[in-house]
Amino acid sequence: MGAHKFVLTSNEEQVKSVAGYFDFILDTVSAVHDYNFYLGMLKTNGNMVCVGAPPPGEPVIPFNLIFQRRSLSGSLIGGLPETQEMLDYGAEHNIVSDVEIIAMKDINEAYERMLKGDVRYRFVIDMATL
Amino acid sequence: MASTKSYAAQDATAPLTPWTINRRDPKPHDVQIDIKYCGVCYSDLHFARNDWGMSVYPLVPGHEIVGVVTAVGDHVKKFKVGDLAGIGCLVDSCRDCDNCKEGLEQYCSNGWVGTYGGMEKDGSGATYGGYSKSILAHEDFVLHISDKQPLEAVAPLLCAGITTYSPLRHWKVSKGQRVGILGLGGLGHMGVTFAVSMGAEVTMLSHTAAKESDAKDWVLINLF
Ligand SMILES: [Zn+2]
Ligand SMILES: [Zn+2]
Repeated sequence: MGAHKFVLTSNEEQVKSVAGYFDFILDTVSAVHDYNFYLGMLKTNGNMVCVGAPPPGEPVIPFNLIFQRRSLSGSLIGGLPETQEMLDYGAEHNIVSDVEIIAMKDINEAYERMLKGDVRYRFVIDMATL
Repeated sequence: MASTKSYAAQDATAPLTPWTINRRDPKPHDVQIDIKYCGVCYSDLHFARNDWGMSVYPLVPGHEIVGVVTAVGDHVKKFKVGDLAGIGCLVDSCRDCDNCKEGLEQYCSNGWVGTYGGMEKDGSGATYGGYSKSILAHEDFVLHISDKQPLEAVAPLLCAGITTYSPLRHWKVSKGQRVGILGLGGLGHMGVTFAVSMGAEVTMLSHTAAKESDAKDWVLINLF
């Protein structure tokens, strides 16, 4: 996998290997999780950005930010100019989503599968089926 | 008013079922789109079930919309009939506050209008999303879509794509940086793709062992 890798966060050895490691973490998780655990993976001046919105869980402990001048940030979708820029960039670099096409009538079943995490990686409805 | 077929939730516990939307009348700056595909975002599910306590029913979800322009108003300059077009998470904003003037409509100080579950600023009623045959919006909130890519696979870029692209760009992720992507779902897989394209050294972080083989298969197939 070249420079890219996978770290199983339930494996202590693997977690240790990324302590103080990242410049940037993009947190897409919308289930409750402990931010402090992941802040420890940032190096000095590192930044973790939340784009998933979980219900309240463990409080963030400022100590984890202060000692390595780390940041915890948030970000919401994008504006219109940037969305167009992203689409153009995607076209230039041939970036698309990995999708599973469904019929409109199967939307309720698709929701159930999403709740189980059973989708790789996005359902897309074919509107010809409506 | 034009009526269009859709799928809607009638309340927080009902499954989505067929429903007819009466879309508002087109205005001089509006672009009308025949919807070909619509991505399914987790927000759709949360809104359909009123998980965030702000849903108004009937609710037609869907904000990863791609299709073909079928009509344009007299003042429309950016689109013509037959163009591919997309609509993402918002269809209007105040266009007057500092954030809107900077093109940061998603942080509009006076509140932006969501593609579904929002209220039109002109008082014409609720907004209904992309689980439908057609939609219309002001040209400034409609995106150009390339004809070089499979349309169905571009649809999720309108929410999952921009949600991950925007922070990667804002914080200037670049070549050689070590980037961790936490969670490998609809958002995460787009984040990995964009971060790799920007030259970052990407690590996928997940607490689920099953995701590891998925991720490895997926990375091998898609990124190399
Ligand atoms: Zn979304
Ligand atoms: Zn504004």
